Amino acid sequence: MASVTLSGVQKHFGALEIIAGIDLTIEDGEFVVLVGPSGCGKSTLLRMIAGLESISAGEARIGGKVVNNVPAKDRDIAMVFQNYALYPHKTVRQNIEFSLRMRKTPKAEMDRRVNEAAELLALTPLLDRTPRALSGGQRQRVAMGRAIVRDPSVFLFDEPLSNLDAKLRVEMRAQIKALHRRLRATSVYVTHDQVEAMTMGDKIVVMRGGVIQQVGRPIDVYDAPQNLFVAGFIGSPSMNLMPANVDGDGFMISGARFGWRGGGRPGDLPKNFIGGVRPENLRLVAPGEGIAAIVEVVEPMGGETVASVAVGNTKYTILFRDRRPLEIGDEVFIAPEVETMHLFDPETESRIDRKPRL
Amino acid sequence: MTDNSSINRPLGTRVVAWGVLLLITLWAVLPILWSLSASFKTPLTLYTGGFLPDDPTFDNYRRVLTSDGFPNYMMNSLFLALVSTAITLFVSVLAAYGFARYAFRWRHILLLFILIPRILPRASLIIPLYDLVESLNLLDTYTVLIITYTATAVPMATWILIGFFQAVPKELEEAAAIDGASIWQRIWKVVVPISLPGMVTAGILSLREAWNEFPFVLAFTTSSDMRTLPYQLFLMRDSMGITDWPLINAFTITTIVPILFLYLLFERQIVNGLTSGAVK
Ligand SMILES: Nc1ncnc2c1ncn2[C@@H]1O[C@H](COP(=O)(O)OP(=O)(O)O)[C@@H](O)[C@H]1O
Ligand SMILES: [Mg+2]
Repeated sequence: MASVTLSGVQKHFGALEIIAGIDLTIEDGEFVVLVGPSGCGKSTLLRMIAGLESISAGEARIGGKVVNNVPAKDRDIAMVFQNYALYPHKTVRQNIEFSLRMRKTPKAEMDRRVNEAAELLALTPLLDRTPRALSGGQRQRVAMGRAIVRDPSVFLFDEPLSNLDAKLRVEMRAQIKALHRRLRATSVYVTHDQVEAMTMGDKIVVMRGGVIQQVGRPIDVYDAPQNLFVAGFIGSPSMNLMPANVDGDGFMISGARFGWRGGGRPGDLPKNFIGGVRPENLRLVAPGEGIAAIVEVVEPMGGETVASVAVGNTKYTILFRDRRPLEIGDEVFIAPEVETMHLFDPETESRIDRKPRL
Repeated sequence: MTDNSSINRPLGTRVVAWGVLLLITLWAVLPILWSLSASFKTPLTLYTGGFLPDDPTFDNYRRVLTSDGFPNYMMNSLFLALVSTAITLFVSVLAAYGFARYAFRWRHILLLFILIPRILPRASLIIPLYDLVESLNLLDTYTVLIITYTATAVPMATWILIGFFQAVPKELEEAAAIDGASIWQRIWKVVVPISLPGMVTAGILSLREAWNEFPFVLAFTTSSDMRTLPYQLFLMRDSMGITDWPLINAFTITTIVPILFLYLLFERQIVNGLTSGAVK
């Protein structure tokens, strides 16, 4: 077990800056998820922790020790790759025990640990097969087995579930979490899927273009996204970002006027701002009371209904916690729940905290 | 898969395809069959009778196998072929790994350069090499043959292996590195086993080249102890007034059999290597 500390870590490929300078501490035993859109540098950062990519500037420490110049094989880490990277010429048992062999573990000890890992991951009946004779889910578990058998100080995962079908992905998500609760190993998990990030992380790190946007507990990030990017990225369906402007002691969105409720008008609010409203916090109201919109898409999901509505050229998403007999082309009137609205500055794109005006 | 098989093609196409395949097969196999047939005949019956010997005799084979020095020539051929193949594979694996995994300056030029020993006609190399070998005091030694066989086989083996090594996903080596493998272990325990078909192909080709090699052994050796099978075959033709074709053909077949045997042996290993675990 060990903590991982990155200070001012940068990565350049030639003149191209991929990682702009990352400061991040991952506590001992913590499960941290790096999340961000594809191409934002998550894998590169993970690979720098692993020692598969050199560190252009800054410092990486594992367990307090600077590892910038320590080769991957001596970092005492384990990694699960997106495509699993199982050795195709070796059986499941040989795949799992390879790292123990490389460390010259005695045979009895090696067998005991391989069997234990196989038991834990329900791989025992598959130990003599080669990877090509396994299903995607089974391969994924072998990759996990190869990682846990060694009892490394840090686990790294690079989108390990993205090649599985939806149902298996949910199952494996739970399994990896359960495994983590049991092993309590420091883990860094990379994904572009914000649902995975929300459900798995003790702490999530939202990245964009090689820069950390926000770090925090998933629920805190969800409740208080620090900027427009995080607001739009975390949560599914995405938050509606509605351009608004202050109007006396209320505000206007698309020609409809709303009043501040509860705490009244927040302080430090610029004339124009962006109101972030989660789809579940957008309501239908009586005709004439809110913003007029046309229903464009209706997705009945059984218990819930997701509708996409158009206000002019702008689309907003509404999530209903029930069935709604909406038809495409219906005219509806929508209104945000003002108390739950997130406020953003359109210039800086950052969050405006709701300090009530005194 | 099935839409590619001959089942769905018109009869005419199939007949033509089979006809062409048959022709090619005959073209390749007929000389060997003729040689095989001749090896069971006598000089007198060689040109009479049909393709199959009327009265097959094993006398030619007996004479080949019991001829003076034959076991020695056979051992020479085997030894030279196996040792130079082993060295060739060892050197080529390291060279091919470098070419496959590292982008370095002049990489492409160098790749062309290593082909030079193969592009030059062997005969044109003999005179300069002879001088060199003589001044190194290596004439009439295994060493000079092993060096020259290895030197000519390495370019071919390297080129074959580069393709196979490049096809090994980089992640596998990264996984191995994280598992604690050194670069040496990554090469020999991950990259090479996965490239087994390439290893076997390169190995068989280099084995065959060394086994069949003639100009160098002719030029660089003199004592009868150093003779290889092809050399002896050449001498048989030369030293007898009337050429004993059936005997020569028996010798030829005897020379082919070991390499054929090795080939079949390894071919089975390729197939096993690729399918093990898939069917069990
Ligand atoms: N070896 C490389 N050379 C040049 N650019 C690279 C290299 N590896 C990755 N990149 C670039 O770095 C960026 C981040 O890549 P990556 O870390 O794989 O993103 P993510 O995992 O978040 O999708 C991408 O724009 C990618 O094209
Ligand atoms: Mg990635």
